Amino acid sequence: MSKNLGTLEETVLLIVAVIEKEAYGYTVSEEYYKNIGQRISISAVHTVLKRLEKKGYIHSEMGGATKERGGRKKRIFKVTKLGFTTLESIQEARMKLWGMMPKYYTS
Amino acid sequence: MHKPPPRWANRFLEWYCASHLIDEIQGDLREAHFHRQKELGSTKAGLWFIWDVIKFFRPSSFSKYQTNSNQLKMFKDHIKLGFRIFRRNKVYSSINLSGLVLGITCCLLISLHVIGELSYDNFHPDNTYRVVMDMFKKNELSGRSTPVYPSVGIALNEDFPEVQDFTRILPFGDGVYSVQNEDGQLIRFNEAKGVYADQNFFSMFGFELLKGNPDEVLSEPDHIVLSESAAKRYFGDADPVGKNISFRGRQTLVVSGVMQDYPKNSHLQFDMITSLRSMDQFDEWKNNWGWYDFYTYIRVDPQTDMTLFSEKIDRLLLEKKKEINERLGTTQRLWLQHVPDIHLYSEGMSWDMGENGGSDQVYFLSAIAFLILIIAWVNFINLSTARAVKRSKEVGIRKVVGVEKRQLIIQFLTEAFLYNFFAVIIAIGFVLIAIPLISNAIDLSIDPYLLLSKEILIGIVVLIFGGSLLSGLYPAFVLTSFKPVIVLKGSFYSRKASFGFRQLLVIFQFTISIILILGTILVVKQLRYMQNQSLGLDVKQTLVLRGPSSSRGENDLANRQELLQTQLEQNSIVKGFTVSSNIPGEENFWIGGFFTRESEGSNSCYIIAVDENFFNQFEIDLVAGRNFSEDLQSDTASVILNKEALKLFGFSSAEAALGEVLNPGRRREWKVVGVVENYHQATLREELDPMAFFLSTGSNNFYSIKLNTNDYRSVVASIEDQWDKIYPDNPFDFFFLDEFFNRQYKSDIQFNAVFISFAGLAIFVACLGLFGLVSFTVEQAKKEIGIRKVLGASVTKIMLLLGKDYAKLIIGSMIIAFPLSFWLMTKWLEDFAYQTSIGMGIFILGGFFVILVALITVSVKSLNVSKTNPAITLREE
Repeated sequence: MSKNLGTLEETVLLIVAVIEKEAYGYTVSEEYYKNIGQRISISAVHTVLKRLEKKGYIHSEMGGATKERGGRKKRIFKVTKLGFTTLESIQEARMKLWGMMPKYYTS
Repeated sequence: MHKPPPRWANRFLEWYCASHLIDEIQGDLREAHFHRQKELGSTKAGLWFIWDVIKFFRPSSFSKYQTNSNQLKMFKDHIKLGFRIFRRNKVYSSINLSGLVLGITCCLLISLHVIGELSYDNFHPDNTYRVVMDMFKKNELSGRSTPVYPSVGIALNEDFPEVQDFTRILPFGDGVYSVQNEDGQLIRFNEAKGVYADQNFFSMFGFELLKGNPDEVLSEPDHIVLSESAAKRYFGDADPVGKNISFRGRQTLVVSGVMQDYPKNSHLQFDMITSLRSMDQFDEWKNNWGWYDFYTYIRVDPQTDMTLFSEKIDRLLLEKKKEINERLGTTQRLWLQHVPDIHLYSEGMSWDMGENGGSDQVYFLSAIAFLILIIAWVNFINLSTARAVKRSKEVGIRKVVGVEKRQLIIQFLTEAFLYNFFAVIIAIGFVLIAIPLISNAIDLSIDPYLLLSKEILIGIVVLIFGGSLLSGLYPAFVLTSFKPVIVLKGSFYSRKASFGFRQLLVIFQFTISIILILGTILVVKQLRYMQNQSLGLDVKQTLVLRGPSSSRGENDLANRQELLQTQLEQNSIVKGFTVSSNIPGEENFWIGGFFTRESEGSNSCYIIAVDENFFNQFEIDLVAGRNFSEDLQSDTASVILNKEALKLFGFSSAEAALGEVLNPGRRREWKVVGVVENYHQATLREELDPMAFFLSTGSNNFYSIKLNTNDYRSVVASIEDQWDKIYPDNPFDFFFLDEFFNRQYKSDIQFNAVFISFAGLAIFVACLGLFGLVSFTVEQAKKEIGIRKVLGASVTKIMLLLGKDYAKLIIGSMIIAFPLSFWLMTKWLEDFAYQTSIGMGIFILGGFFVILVALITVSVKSLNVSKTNPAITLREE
């Protein structure tokens, strides 16, 4: 499987990294809506999370159950070391590019 | 208050979701539902929940994925392998696939046609029947009439509580209709789909009325309902309701409604329906038991026991017409046709509406479709088994490695499935391409939308799965039954393998192909025979004008006809001009009952009114007596009979009939003045009809003009000129008689084309099968051939050696096919009144053709092998 990150994958990875609460399907989807302004279905989030996990950017473990969840456990995701470094290198590359932006665009 | 999400959706989720995923998926969804409910309310949250559940319904969530993953993987593997094997030997695989594709294409095309035919009249209220009548003369069937007496409907309705309603259609609404438009222009058309009908016409049938009240549009005299396209012809886009339209120049009708154009699959096809009350001298015709021109439809109470009811109806006319029947020696029996059956099961009915009949053809085509499909499958079996040798090592290795037999079978079935599946897909593409071609070539329209009909969709699924099983099972068992030890050692099967299943299959294929080929030759021969047979009259170079029907007064048309005749006779290109009430190739509705001094009872005989030029111009020979003469006033009471009519009336010879009187003692007596040779009024499918010719007075339906030029275009233009001056109120409507006559063979020509193409396909597919078998044998005999060559056998010798085996098969199938096809051909010919002989020629020609084709097929492969350098074949080991 390719290690490339798609835009959606990158965004979700970021959300998992920055989220204060536990990161799982529902919270990620909510956070996505709050910060990006677009709805994303939970099934899509699950797909992306699964893919990220397969690529090794995040890892997961089962968390506690709550009443709202009808007694079902959560699968909580955390960003791995590889995930962080990848995010950082993407950010670095972006900054470098931004630095090269001609002045008349930014002014 | 929190409400749980929709239960069924939740259950559905629990049903499909894998157990190791249920926690996260259901948990997340329920949590989302919980929060959404606060924001959006429970209904919207519920909908969201359902939507999410549906979105999660995908393979990755399924539990089977985990538990059966091994088998699924195997299946994937089989599919992948199937594709690889297909690619490894493209020629082989394509032959295999194309056989299937052709078979399925034929099968689909024919099914579409058949379903189209079966769908006729399926949109009317159920329990609607047509009342038809068998007529007997001295207890012998003399005719089967679709129209009946006007009183039949009334009597049925009054006497039988089972009858809920009836309607009658009188087919006399043809002729010129005209409308004066706003610019003072006369819009005029010759209409051929005009009828009169009772007022409840629209409640009996499922035809849509776009404008007007269905119960009222036909209730008043002089009211007419137009079809959408007819309304457009006369009134353009304006609303026609309430406007006037003139019929035959003398009757003004008011448009009371507009009906949707009739669907193609209706045996009734009307453009103009006038209320029956508009007929001259309208009457209920309550006691009219003689005038059988009324198509009568009844609606029967759904509770009715139809067998019992049919028996009652059968006897109705025996009682009602007792007196007349006893005097004339005739009887009539009524029976019922369920409306959806009319289209297919009206073979042999006279004066029918629409082109009905042809159930035989439908069955025939279905049988052919089925046979071709079987041939294609047989072919697949043959070729797949032939591959067995090449694949025996693969199977051997797999077995050694430990693959179970069951899995091998599944593997081969999967391959068969792939072939069948793709064959169906490609075939559907071919069908879509073929439909417009077919409708262009033989004017046979097939509705491609029927591909989406339930019957076809189910059929396709059955075809794919049933076909896979049928065609995959045998090869699967043969291939898997190889003993690995023997196979891997390298030697198995000799060329002289026993007379096996595959040989039987080839014989089967060729038997069918031979039957189809012989059939084709016969069909062509019969059509040619019919078209070359002397009709007893000359229809060449004859231009026919449809007679004018729009008149200004009593004798107006007769006067104008005379004017046209004098003008045309001055035209140098006109060799002759004759008028008549009917022409060859047009169904004759005019029938009269006649008796002679000697005859018992009355005899029905066709009537044609002609002028004195008719026999001369059509070159109908006078056998005895004389022609009509313009100068003899008395000839208006004369009749000329044809030879069939002589037989009908029981005259011993033509001379004996001269001077005899028809209907002596009646108000109108007819003196026989001449006898003419028979001629064919219809195709050679039909018997000759008895005909009585009367001298025409007044106007006529057909004006036939004999031309002495081949420059038809300018002739037509100049005649049209003259016509328009004399008949500004009648449209100029012409056709050429020979074309008109031959159009009757349209269905025969269609049948011909269909038969030829399918027979061609069948033999092609059968040859593919033969090719497969040859390859199979040759593949095994490679070494034998190599050794023979090393020892000095020539290429010819080896070819002969190989060919011998197949010659036996072909000859075997001929032995089966010849008597079988002789029987079938005799059966088929029984439909024709005039039959060509079957003859030895067909068998010789057909047999020769089959042998030739088979020989070529066999030699292609065997030549290839016999020419191979033995060093190459013997090196492998």
